[in-house]
Amino acid sequence: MVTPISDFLVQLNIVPAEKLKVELGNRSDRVRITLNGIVYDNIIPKLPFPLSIPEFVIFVQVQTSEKGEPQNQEICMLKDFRKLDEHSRHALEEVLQKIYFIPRVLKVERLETSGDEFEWEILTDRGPRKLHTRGRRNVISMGTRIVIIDTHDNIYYVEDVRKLDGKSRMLLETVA
Amino acid sequence: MALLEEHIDRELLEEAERLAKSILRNGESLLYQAFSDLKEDNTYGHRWLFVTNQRVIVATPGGGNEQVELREIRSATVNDYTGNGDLELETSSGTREIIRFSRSCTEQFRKAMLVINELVSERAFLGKEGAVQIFASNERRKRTTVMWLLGYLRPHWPFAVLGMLLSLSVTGLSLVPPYLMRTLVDEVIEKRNFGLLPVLTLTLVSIYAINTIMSIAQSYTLSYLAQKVVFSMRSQVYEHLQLLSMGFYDRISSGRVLSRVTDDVGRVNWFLVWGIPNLVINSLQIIGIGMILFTLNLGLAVFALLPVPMIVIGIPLFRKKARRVYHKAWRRWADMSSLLVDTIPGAIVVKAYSQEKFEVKRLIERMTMVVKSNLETTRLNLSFFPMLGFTASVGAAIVWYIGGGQVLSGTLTLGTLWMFVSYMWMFYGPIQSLTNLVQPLQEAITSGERVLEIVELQPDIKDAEDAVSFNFKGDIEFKNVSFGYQPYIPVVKNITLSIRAGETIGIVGPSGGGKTTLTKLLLRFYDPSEGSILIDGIDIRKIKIQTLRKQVGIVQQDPFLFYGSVAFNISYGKIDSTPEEIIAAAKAANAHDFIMSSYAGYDSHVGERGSRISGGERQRIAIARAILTDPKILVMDEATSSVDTLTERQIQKALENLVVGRTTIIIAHRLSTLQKADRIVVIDKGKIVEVGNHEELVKAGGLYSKLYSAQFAEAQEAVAPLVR
Repeated sequence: MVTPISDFLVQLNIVPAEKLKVELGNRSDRVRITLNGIVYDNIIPKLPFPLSIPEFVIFVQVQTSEKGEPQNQEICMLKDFRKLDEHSRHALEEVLQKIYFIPRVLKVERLETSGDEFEWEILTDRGPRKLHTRGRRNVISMGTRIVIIDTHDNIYYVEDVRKLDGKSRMLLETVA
Repeated sequence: MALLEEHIDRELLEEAERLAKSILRNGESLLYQAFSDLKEDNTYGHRWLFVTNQRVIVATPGGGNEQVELREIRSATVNDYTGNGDLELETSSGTREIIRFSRSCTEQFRKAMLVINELVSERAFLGKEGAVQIFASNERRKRTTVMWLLGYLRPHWPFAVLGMLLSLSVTGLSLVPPYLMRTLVDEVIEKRNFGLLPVLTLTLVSIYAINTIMSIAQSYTLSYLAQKVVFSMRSQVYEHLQLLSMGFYDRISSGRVLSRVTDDVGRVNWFLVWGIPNLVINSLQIIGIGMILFTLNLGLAVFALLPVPMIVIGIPLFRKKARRVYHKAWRRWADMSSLLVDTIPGAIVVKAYSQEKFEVKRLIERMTMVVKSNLETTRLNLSFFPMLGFTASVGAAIVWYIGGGQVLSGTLTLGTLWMFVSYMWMFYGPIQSLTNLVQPLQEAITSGERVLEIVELQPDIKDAEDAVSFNFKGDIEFKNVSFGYQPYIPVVKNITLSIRAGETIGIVGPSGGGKTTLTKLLLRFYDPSEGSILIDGIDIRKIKIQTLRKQVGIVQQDPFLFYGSVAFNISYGKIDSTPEEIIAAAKAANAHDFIMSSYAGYDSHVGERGSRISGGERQRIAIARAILTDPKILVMDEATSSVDTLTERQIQKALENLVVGRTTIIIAHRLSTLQKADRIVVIDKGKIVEVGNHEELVKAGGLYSKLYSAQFAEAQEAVAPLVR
């Protein structure tokens, strides 16, 4: 018997949104989920594709082993959390916002490209920010989306480059 | 294929061909040839070594050959000395040095040695193509290259024509102002014709205006054409490169391929869209202005031509010298920067030995050299261009003197003299640019030949017309398979092995023994020279290449990851895979956990050639990539040899998930990897020497058990200091 990828696919336990309820957990980075009538506590929601498919969520249960080491177990996966009911979605979004701080770039005010490091001044949905990136490799185009990774591995993204103002677009075009 | 071996030039190959033809007997075929640059008397010269199916011959271009019959030879050896080496043959009548060579040729003679030894040990390995074509076909003419290049312009011919027409108009219009000047002098100023002045001025302005617009249109058209042509050429070359077999990439380094795709195509592009128009326009200008000058005044025209010889002869000479001087200046500059690159990071050593003053002195010495060589380039420039200008001015002065006399005596109008002088100055421009064009034009044609060489290469491995496509069960059979990357130097010899579907086979043996070659043959990167490989009873040469490679997954020792996200690299095996499939494959490869813990999960970038992640992580990403397509046959080529024992165990665990039901071939250096294999095949010097499972082979006391005890002892030694 061959162990095909499909076997591993089944083990992923991808669940439909209507079978899942999400509530806030006992810590600001945890949620509690209810799946098929069973309640799972101490769940960290994780995004396997935070930049390209931000709606894909893996729910990981954090447990502590007898020796006191953390033992994580993936409970289930959800392909599109936006399909959850209103209440669950809000709860999940709140926790995700805490775990994944990826500001959306609204405007590029200044971009200095001389030297090894690019110097940026941007306006994000979380406020203004000055940052440095190294090389063009850290400004990544994904279609109309642009991801910027700074020298400290902080991540920023431009949702749709076409929707930016002319000056920001022009500045971005010089590097992306 | 030999035409790609650029280190042997064509003239030499022709010489070898002539020599070989005159020496070879009837029915004798040339198997290998090597070129030596040393003569018997310790001086430089040409000698050729020919290895045929009957003899080993040393040929001298002037005549006089030495030869040894193969049946007399016992073995061949290459001896290395300082700056030279020789090939020695051991014959029934003793040992003799047969040919000497400088170290530049050593590589060729090592291969010659291998070929001779193969032949005399009666393991003669003859590819079924018989005598291999060694000589380059040098029938390609420059003309075909040029025709091929012009072919790229064909689809864009309206733009080519438009560009040419615009260029002609710009040239034509630029000839008008001097004519207007004559009218100005003769008709307006001399005759005090106030009415004509505004008309003339307006005409002049309009001509300049039209010329400006046309120049813009011309530049844009030509540059548009350039981009179109270079686009189609580059994509054709690139597409062709993707189709060529692995054999091509083994023979020609990737750097050289890259330079052909970028530099050579660039130069060719220049030739097409800038070289040709300039060639035509400049020639037309020279003819046009020349005709005007000579019809206007034959006597003056002769003096106007005074600087022409200096331009035509002087500029090429100048360029030749300038190249030398500029290179020298560039090297001096490099000397200086290399010193800086050395000493600034090495500051700690400089300070530790308090050599600061010494370093400053060294730098000043080199800077002095830079200054000297820069001044030399300046002197060179000053020695030529002012002289050229002076000659032209002398010509002009003579024209003034004679022409002025003619004006005074009334045989020439003042306006015509003005016009003549203007045309005269315009005449030098195109001559100078034409002279400057010659060398880049030649370079461009050479580049064109190099690009054409690649485009004309046919992939060695193609789908057979009756190739089939089916789902593999996973039975593999090697039937008397022999293969060598070089003709007559076999790497794999007469391998016969059958592997059942679902079996896990380990392959071990000393490096260079042919293990990896077997997997390359299985994937059909090469075809065996003899014998055949069957999957589920069907010769792989009759299976569609795509079908074969989709169902045989491979993980290499140093897997190549592309610049991009982890997800992109995993999905490379199946571009349209879903996110769930990517995660499932990563889980199967035991890679999911480390991927999730990196800064952006599956969206994290692996960096330049995968440098952001460790060797073991890279391996597991490669495993995920290989199994995403659910291959029926999985090949692991030393996949765990570059990782530590702990990581190996993790990969091992990943493998256990995967081998179930798949035919798996594991090539391993570390024998511990193979203890669970159903059978282990030991390969040495291209041959199977032992087959059996771990216990059987250890008991048998052959090569495997030797390798095993050596590794076991090594492991013990490594642990010993820790337990002491």
